[in-house]
Amino acid sequence: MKLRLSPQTLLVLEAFLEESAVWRYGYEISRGSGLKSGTLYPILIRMEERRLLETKWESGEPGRPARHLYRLTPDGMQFVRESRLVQAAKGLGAVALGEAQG
Amino acid sequence: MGFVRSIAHRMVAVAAGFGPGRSQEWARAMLAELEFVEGEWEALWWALGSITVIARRSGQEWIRLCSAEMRRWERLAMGQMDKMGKKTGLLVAGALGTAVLVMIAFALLYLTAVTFPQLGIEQAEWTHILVVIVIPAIICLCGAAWLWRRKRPLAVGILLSVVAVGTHVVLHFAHHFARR
Repeated sequence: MKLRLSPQTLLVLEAFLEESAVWRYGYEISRGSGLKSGTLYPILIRMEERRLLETKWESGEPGRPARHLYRLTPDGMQFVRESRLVQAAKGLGAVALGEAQG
Repeated sequence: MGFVRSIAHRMVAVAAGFGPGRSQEWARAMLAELEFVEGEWEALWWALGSITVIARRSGQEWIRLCSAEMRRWERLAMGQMDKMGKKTGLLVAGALGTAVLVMIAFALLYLTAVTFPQLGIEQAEWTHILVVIVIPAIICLCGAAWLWRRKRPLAVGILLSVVAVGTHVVLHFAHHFARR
């Protein structure tokens, strides 16, 4: 099952790709991508449903709530690589079209 | 925790309570993250976004759960109807089988009476009772007993028609003796 590659989804994927093995917090991704919670979480949920993202609960410090952590699965990393290729190909196509028209 | 943040926290906590199963985990994740959002108003915006996500997810999951439950009931009802239909069919088949047997016996008796009028079968009432009622009834009762464990609705159908024929005979004799 593929994920629709909206600009917001691409931003989230980029945020994960910086250090793909690192577990990330939702707020951290939100700050990195500039997406609000209302946009970010549906993307994370869809990614998790498609097994592109793995989640875990951090053991919280005393007096602070346990936080949810996210990381790309191997399938997720593969998907990011493929989507980057697709985007690169689209970019090249657009440049070529521009040159041809110019 | 500031006033605005505490309001935001309460709003998300309340919304999180409505989500079924998996939605609740995501709601808890957004609620936990709210504590770390910098700035009071940013926390409120985070909360409002989270509530939107929770409401949408919960709505979708409730719809999915309700439709799954409805499908389950539908399957159950259809299965029940199938079973009922099969039972009714067997019951009717049993009753029709008995009726056919009685009609065959009656036809044989009529043919014998027409073919061999010298036997005087038409005048002998006991022959009618024996051939049309008693022998078919014995056959039916034996058949019903044999079918009782194998195809009970069929056996019940046979027994019901035997009872109907028996009642008819009893009423016939009661009427006959009452006239005398």
